Amino acid sequence: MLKEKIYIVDYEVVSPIGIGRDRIIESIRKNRDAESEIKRVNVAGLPFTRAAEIKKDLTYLLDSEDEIYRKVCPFDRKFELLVACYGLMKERSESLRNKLKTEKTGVILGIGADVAPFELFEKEIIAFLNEDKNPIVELYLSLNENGTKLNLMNNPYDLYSMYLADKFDAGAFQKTVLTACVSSTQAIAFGYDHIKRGEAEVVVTGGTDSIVNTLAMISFGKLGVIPESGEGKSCKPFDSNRRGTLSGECAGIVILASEKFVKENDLEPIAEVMGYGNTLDAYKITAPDPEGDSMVRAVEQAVSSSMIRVEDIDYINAHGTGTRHNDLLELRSLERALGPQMKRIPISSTKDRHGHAIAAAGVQEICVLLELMKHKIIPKNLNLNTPCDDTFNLVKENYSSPINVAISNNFAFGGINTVLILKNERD
Amino acid sequence: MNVYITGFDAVFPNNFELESFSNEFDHSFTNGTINAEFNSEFTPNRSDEKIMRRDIKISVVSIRRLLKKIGLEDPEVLEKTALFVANGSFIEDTEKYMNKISVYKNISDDLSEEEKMYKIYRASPPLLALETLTNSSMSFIAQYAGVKYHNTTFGTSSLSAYYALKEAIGSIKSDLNEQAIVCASNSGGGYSFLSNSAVVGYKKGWKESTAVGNIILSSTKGSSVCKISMMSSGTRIPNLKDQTIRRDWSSLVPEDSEFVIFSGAFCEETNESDRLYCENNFKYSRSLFDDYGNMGSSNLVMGIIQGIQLLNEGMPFVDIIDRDLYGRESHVRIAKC
Repeated sequence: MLKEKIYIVDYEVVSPIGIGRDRIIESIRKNRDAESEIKRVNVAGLPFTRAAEIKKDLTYLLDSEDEIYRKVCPFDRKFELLVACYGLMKERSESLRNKLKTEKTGVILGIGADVAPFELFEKEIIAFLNEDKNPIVELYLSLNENGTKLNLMNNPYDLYSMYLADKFDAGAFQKTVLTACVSSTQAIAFGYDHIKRGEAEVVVTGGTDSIVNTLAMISFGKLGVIPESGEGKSCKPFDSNRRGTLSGECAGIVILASEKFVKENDLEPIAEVMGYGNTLDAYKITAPDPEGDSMVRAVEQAVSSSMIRVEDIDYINAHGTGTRHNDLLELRSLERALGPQMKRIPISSTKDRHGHAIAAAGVQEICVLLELMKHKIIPKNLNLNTPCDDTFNLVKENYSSPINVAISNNFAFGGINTVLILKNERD
Repeated sequence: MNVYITGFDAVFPNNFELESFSNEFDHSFTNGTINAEFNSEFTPNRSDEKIMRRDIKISVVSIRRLLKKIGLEDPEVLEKTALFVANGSFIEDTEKYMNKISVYKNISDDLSEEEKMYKIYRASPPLLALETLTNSSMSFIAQYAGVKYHNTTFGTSSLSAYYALKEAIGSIKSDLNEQAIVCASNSGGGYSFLSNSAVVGYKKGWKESTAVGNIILSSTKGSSVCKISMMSSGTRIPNLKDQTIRRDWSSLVPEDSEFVIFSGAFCEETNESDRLYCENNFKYSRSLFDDYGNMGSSNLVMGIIQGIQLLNEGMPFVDIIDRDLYGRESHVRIAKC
């Protein structure tokens, strides 16, 4: 039976390796990584002072935005990145926006943990504490007195999807997915489902997150997933000497449309979302299942729902965090799911370049993958010196090769495994 | 294809025992907490309990109790069961976080900023990340219930429960899975008030409560409790720019509607206007706010569970309507099988 195809018709990304999709490939070709000393947040005193931070001032992308949205940006990095990302595609997406029907357009975004920007209010907090007052109550009350109803301390997560719903006149739904490192991957997968089930004909998906803040750095540092800063690069996916991941930040928007909508509106599809897999470890919240059974099932589901064969797969963009727990388990799970013939498929992680953007990791990697498909480049694992298992085709040098079908893996803390399969639709 | 509710369990504010909640319809609660200080065969182990928010602990207990009650304990079946979670925004935990901030007070002023930061880092617990992990409810439920299939966590306003329910039904109807668990939990209290009041505008008589509700949906009628015969949500996009959030009821509820459970008010004043609307338009109506306050992301599921009681009392179908913080509406009709 022929199934209706779901296409990606536009995408945009604000990434540490490029402000805008057109900047990504140059960075990949030149093997740049975004790891550097953190500037925006004061981390002096912490054992890790480096991250994949977006250093460029984004003000030029926010200038044309409504004042009420601009007002939130200095307090909420995730929102600032999303507004900047929309700013990049605003002009280009105008003709698409004019074709949308409110009741048939939805938004679904993956969002990271809410982090109140306490650093900005440290003086006030200490003053309230010294007066023996409850600092949060006093702080909230004083913020609410400022007249804005977009609460700056704890923006309800739905703010992000409602912002894009406002831009795209998306009345079918405005959803927020909260599943850590697979949030935006699931957002794309569920966007695909919504179209398939006829609940929408266009879905604006993606996500935004930043873990370049003290709470996240301390939290992940304490978990042992961020290596202490020292000699050499922080993030070495699939290397025997990997020590952890690289904190990152990103916002990405991927617009999905039904085949019917694409045809009726004469759009040129960029890629097809062929299918996905989505499972839970149900093991331990603090560690992945060491057997990787649910990772295996997620890959198997993705392949079977995409109706492809293993030999069709040209590239695997791995989750590859560079942590001790993830990388080898990911390789073993891929082998169990796809069989020994998968060992010919080139595998790389791009987190060593742009860092781990947690809730936006999936959409960042999909946007990078779309650029790789467009420019026919297989990227190398940047910091791979001693492969943790050299029987796999872990890419050691960038090279040119068409990518027709590719897998993109993401696995989340707490044991969630989401795998997407894309097919290139551009020449 | 019909989708049936095959089991349910809930923990209403101030009322842990589900069996007795129907006797308390006429009571009004103003305290929005639920009791987490209990031990039973369903209680998580001590080390996990230490790192769970109160609503997560209750969710785990409620799910385990429900699975046992309906005999859904076969690991092979659970492995193929989907799990969709609706969560509040964990604002209540901010209090805990703020308590950590008070570490500043105990750090001597003669220390440099760098030394202070180092001390804070050293003093932070190893599992601090779990306190901000947005999927911790789902992961703990999966861990304790053995559910391993299709999943997601939706946040954060009360509409998230509708989205979780819709996803569960969609996944069953499109044959992704035969059954799905919908877990809706909300942490309410003073801090939610402080945050949400910025959106709603401060009103006297605010009530927001902590609550947990779970239902199991299936494509198989079997010994099901009722079926979901209709559901819809509005297409109104909240206008954040001019801050005009409409809270009137639209015509989402079908014309043949007679028995309605409604929620979505945050204060007495809005509840009163909702009540008037419902009294004028339906034969029977009940406000969840009257009994429990606003239960945020659990509203809709709690309404369904109350609706099941009404079906048991002889009503042929019940409409449950909810409106979230931003005025977005959702509607579900449950009917006897």
